[in-house]
Amino acid sequence: MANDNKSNYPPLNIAKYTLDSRLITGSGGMTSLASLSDTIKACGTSMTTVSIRRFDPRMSPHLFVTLRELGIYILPNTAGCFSAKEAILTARLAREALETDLIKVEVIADDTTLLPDPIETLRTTQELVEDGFTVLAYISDDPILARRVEAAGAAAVMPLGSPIGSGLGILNPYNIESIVNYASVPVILDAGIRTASDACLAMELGCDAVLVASAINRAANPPTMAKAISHGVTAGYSARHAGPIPKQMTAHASSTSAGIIDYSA
Amino acid sequence: MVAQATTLGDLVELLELPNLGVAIALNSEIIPKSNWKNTILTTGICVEVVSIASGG
Repeated sequence: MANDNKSNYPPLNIAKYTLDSRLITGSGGMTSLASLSDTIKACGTSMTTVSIRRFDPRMSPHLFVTLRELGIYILPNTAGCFSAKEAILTARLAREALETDLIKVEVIADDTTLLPDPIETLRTTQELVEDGFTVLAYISDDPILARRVEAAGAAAVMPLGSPIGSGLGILNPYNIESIVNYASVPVILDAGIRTASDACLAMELGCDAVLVASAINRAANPPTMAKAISHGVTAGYSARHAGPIPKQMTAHASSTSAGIIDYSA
Repeated sequence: MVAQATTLGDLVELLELPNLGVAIALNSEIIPKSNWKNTILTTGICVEVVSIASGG
């Protein structure tokens, strides 16, 4: 899709898939198909997530056709699942419905925190990888868990910045950076982003992409927010690769000391 | 209406379900599209038809 941001960074490869845009959007929280379509066009995303639910003749076929016509990857998720058993069946239904091996594994522990259950997520990842899926695993911001799901064969790890829909941004940048430092698969910051600066920080910390749903779809103006966050992703990627100065605990003058005027004379 | 259907393929036609973007499970077992036409529906079987919805 036409997007003036794309030339500023190389495409992202997740297993056999190539994404021109490093902003993955979620359709969750969209208010209408027209708004979803406008938003996807505005930010030029290459991939959008969907959930798997009972067939709704008023919505399901229209959402499917809209996304197909936009020509982007559809990333089904296992949202709503609380166990590996549920998530595995949901993933297989998604594969049958969409004829894709892509799956975002999302197994939450409860309806209140919406935090991912690490044990069930790891079990689901192991089984779906064995079954031939390309697994993108949504996890807490735990560097050790990230290593475990990668070792289980996840094609990408997706640590949260903060709880789903909270808009609290990245609560533990140290953990995100630690995940990035150990990962040899793409790291996609997922959940918690509120605005462009959060996406920018994720990329500055070394994430390979960000996934944003609520922050865009629940903004007052979704297409404008989508574009702003896309700019944040581009800025963060560029800054990360431009070699930022190290943090220091002391001040360092930027003006030259050569030729300084001696006012005491 | 559903009682007239003898196969899953008949049910799909009756309900005017699209071929793409839909998956069907019978008693939690996924039936591939290629098997819809020759899958016989029996009394009491649980038919689950799923598709995509908005989700993050």
